[in-house]
Amino acid sequence: MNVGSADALSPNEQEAVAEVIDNEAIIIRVSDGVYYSLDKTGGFIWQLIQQNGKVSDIVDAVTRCYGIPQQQAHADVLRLAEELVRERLVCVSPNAGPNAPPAALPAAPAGATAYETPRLNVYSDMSDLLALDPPAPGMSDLAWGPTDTEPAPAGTARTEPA
Amino acid sequence: MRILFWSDTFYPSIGGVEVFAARLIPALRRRGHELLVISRRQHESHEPESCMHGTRVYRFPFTEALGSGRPARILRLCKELARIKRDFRPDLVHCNSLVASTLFHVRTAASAPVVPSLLSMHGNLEGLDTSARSVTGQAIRSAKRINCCSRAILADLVGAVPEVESRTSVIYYGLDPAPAPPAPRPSEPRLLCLGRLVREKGFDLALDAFSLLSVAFPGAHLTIAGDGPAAGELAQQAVGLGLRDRVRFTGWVAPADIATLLDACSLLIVPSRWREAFGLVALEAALRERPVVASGVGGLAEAIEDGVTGILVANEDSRALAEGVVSLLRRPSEADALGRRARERALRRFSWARCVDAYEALYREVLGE
Repeated sequence: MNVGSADALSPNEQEAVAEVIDNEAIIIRVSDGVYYSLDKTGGFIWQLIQQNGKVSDIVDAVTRCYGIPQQQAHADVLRLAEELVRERLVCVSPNAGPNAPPAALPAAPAGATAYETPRLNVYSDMSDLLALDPPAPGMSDLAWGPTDTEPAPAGTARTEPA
Repeated sequence: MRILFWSDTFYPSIGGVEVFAARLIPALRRRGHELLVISRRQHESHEPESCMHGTRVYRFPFTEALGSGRPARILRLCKELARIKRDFRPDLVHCNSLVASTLFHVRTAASAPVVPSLLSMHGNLEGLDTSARSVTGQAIRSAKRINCCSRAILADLVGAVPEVESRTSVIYYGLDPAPAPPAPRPSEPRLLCLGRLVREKGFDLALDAFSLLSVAFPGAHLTIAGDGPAAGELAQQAVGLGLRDRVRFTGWVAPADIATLLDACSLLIVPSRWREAFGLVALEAALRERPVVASGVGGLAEAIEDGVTGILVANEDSRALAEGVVSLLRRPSEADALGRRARERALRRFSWARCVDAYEALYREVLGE
């Protein structure tokens, strides 16, 4: 499906479970257990999609945050959007018309000038691999340390082994 | 050099891959290398951080995070792994597993410092998705070098991902002999199967074969050593075949007791259905001068030289297995000769020092030294 500048994008909530930390997104397609990731620019764009952003607004935000030509941002955003739609991770609302800008843009990544062409990483065999090697009973809720429940506060000292 | 060693399963888990890793790491450390191990926390009793022979071992509930359906757990784990990598500053990453948790290796490969990786293949790729969209395919394609534990595994890899052929190598496992010399083979037929009790190991075929030869050899006994989910079925099968008094199940065997177990047998049967990556148990038997009758599948055809150190038979053929065993029981001097040649070959071709040397050389190659 072709995606146009006037279209609005939103996560396909029937299919995609996603979370973002520090502009890094992991997305799980629940119907077949395919895993995806988006890094840096891609994670930033995913957050704009989570705000049901219009393609043209997303292009503007990427142009502004990374200081790249709008034409490049437009091409990259459209290519990624079409891929996300193809993978059934994103829904398109055609010709959304003028709408309010996103309430708050996600924080631009540190060193936002270091633009990287957004790339959807696909891990198509996760469901098969987990079936071969399933989680152990009783281990699922086992945290590995303070960072497993909440991100560690900045400056938190970690005890290093002697 | 500084080596970040990923091994999904690791000591105290016991298996070919785990034992290999648990021996390689201290051996490399003794040669002056710094290592750090990242592995899966398989049991609550496994400490999240521990020290093994001076090497730090981190264990994480990888599959639990992946199976939780909570992307944030995966992301936080990735960040923790990136931190460990950043703090350790490895020269290279050695990935010793190709399983679900390999996703974390693939995800953190790009985090600083970006270093070359070596992938060890210890199993075949049968049934796995190796396309560029898969974690498996990405781990293979992104590795600077891929080492296989046998030519059988190499052939499997190149068949699935031909473009990596120029980056592959084979380093066989190695074992050192126990200090005590092998005991003489018992004169009575004492047959042994040793390994995990799972269908793929084919111990039910060994029971059928034993049933076929048991009339001709009324003094013969079979020991099935190991533990696993097929234990109950195998015990029932032995009873059903009227062999209850002639088949002994030992349960789990400590690695230190394997030499004694082998000394007590006259020959080893390895009836594996699946394509064994190598067949380390055949090497264990060789070092105790025991001939092996095995199905000629996968790496077993490399661990055993047919007609020289053992006998290879058709896969899933209990009659052929029985014939192979009978041929050795009827010719004990030939069986002795096979055992002696097996040990000579094992000492010559499969020493542990050779294995460590080869890995060390491969690391240097990965680093372009």
